[in-house]
Amino acid sequence: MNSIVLPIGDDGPLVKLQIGFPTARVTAMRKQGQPVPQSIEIPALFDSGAEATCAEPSLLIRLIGAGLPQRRLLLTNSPALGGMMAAIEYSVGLRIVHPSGDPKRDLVLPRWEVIEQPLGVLGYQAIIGRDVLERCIFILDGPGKMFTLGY
Amino acid sequence: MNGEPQYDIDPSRLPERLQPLAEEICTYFRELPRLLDEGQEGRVALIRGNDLIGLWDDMDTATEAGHDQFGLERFMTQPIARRDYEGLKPYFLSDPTRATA
Repeated sequence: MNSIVLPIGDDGPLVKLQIGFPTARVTAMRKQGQPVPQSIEIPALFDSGAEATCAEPSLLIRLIGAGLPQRRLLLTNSPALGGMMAAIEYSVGLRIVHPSGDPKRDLVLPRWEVIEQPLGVLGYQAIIGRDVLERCIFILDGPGKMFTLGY
Repeated sequence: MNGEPQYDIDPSRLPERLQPLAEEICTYFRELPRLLDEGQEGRVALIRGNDLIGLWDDMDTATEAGHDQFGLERFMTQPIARRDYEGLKPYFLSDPTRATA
């Protein structure tokens, strides 16, 4: 089992998250000779109160412009962001970057769903929700100001 | 006047965030009352632009059908839900107080 152990910052338990095209899509694009855009890397907050993983729409623009697959429309309830709003769910590839820099220790999810949600005012650019946390062991050590993600 | 609200189902009424699927969202909103009347709630609609391509029983088969027909091009696979109609109404109401979020 791999694990990530990091201090809890002022904004909470944050990690580096890479969002790109789903792995199968990358393979299909390469077969067709299409260029594959680079993944974006953004700070993301673990949030056990969030049902799903969300990302700031302005950061997804480049991937959307390159054909990031949309799946469906969702009505999301985000009290912190003003209540009920419509949002698009995208199919992506996700990678939680291990702080060692060794990509073999990253948590890789080849095809995942991410909902675009305006988060700019909150100080981070993505939220990692229970959809991901349910596959992991997450320990938040408040007094020690550290958190651990096991996967 | 019968008191029924009037809708202007135009992609330009949707916010920038929804523009990647704006045509498909309009098609979904336009077709939703009929689909609900037919008892299709819970099934998954495959939509491309202004066309409702068909209905499937789950997301995976609808997505597979979309890839078969449209390859890497844009399409929407949308589970049919009554609450979506209520949620989308504010975007299309012919009224300046419509949603802008």
